[in-house]
Amino acid sequence: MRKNNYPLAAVAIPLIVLFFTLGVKSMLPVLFLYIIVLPVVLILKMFNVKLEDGLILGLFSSLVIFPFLVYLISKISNFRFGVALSLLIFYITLTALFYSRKKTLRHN
Amino acid sequence: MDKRDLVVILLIYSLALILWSLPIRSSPMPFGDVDSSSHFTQGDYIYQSNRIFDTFPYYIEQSWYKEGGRRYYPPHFYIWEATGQLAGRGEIVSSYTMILLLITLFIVSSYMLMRETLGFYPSLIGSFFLIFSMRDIMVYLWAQWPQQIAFIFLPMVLFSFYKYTAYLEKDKHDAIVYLILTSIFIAGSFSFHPQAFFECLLAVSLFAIIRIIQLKKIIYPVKHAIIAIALVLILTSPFIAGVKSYSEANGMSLSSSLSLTSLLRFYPKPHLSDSPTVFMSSYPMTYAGYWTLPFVILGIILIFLKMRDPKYMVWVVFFLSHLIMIHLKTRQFRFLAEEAHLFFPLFALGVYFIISLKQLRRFRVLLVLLTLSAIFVINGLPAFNTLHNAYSGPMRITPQQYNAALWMRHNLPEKANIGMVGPITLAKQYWIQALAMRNILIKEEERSVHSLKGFYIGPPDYFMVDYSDAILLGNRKLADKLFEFENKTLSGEKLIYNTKEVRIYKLSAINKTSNPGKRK
Repeated sequence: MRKNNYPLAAVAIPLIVLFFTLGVKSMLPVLFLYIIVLPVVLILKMFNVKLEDGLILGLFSSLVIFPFLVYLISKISNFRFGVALSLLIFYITLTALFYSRKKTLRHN
Repeated sequence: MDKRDLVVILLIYSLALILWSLPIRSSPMPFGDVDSSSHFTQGDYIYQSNRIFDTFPYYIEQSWYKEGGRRYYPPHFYIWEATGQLAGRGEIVSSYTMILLLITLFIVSSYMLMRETLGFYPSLIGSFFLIFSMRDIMVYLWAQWPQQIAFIFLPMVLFSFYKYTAYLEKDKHDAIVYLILTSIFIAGSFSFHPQAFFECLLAVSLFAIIRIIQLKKIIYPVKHAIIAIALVLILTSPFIAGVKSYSEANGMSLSSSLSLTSLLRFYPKPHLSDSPTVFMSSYPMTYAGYWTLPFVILGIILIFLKMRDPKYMVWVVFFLSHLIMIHLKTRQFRFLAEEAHLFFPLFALGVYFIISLKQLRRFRVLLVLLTLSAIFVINGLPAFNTLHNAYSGPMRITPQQYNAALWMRHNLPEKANIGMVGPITLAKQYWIQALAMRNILIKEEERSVHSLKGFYIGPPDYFMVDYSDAILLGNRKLADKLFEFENKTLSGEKLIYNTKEVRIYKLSAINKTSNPGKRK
């Protein structure tokens, strides 16, 4: 296995375990959790946090920030929209940070 | 952490998922003690109604939170439950999967802190032992989920603040990232259950004070402190008023809980009146027997001896803040619920100290494997049996009760008040209420108490007679008693739901005027 594939293989472990223990239905919340956590992990990586640390730190910080955003957005609309927009905000932030850092690096 | 750690911790976490999912796998019906249904239904309500509530819906207010209609606790846990259901298309198992994923994260956060401060082998031993932590398992089965999830943030707060301090001392620019993470985790502890918040605040403050004393200079910039406090306030401010009102309503202000006298004396026994004492006070039940005690004591001695090193000071701070919290005047047992997150790492530290002695060092790997095997054999079986047999048979709601609850949800008015006889446990009655999303007048004495307090909402509009528990138990006497009650009290009423096991009546105006407390 290539060195870079380790984190990917590692995060697949709980998914495989849940598939064999609780069935396919239980995998959906985990997959959704991964989708929520992924941009936070990548944002942390941009700030020089090691990927291995960032996976765990990203997971725990998502547990706080995601429901906070969902709560605020749901106050003016509804829960499902809150979830969708919060997710979008995560990915927009990631994209914006990615391009701003790229620009800074090019400038330097 | 390196790549090896990531694989190890996710393997340990997965083993925990296999073990802790046993109660979910053994039956499709939900499980948990009386608190469980109130926690489940708030997430379920968010998912079903597609809105996050600040004031409780009628059935929740009448049943669980009679002191007032405003939601007290921050909604984070319930939002995660609802998100689980959203991803799993409304299945109960999806909500439980999300709870399982979150509540077992204490193993990951403890590993993270242990790995950073104590090294690979102690973190392997400690986190492996945590899988079988009976205290955590019991709290999970009793369903004090938000509180237990809030405690997963304490090791993360200590980890990130330790990293922040370490970076600051090296004068690195990246320190601020770890400060922001510390603030997010502190806010997280508040957002899942406020009591963990106080321990996190205390731990961070103690760490900072002791480090300043050790270095004899203030290393923390004021600008950073302002940023950290502002971030915590931003993330918690929408929820502070609710928590404050609940604390005041229940006489739980910080000033009344903390006093110097309570800190300076040991209680004969922690105040455990509202918790099954044995799992909270028994050392051997939680820590696999007294054989672990010398290692825990050795771990405590080691952290104090080496506390000049910030890596060990983190554990001293953890130990002291826990000690202070269990000396509060109120709700001490709630803090005992996280004790294993401290004691198992201390045990691992003690064991590894012995294993690392010069004479034993060359057998190190073998001895670590032996320790893991001993933990598995001694603690694995009781943990497996407890989780496997949890809420078996009639301890969960029957499919007939589940169907009747869903029927009530879809067919009865939102503010209907329903009387009920038949289900054998209080927890099951609350579960029917949670799944029906309708107010069920559960206990006779409760009705009269509410009546005195002015919360009483009147006699039932509907009445449910449930024979399914009596049938499941083969209890002829109970079935006859229910039948007699049904014939005597409900004859002439309109039968609106009729199956072999469950019947629901719409009560006429004449019957409603009688005192439901004396119906039987």
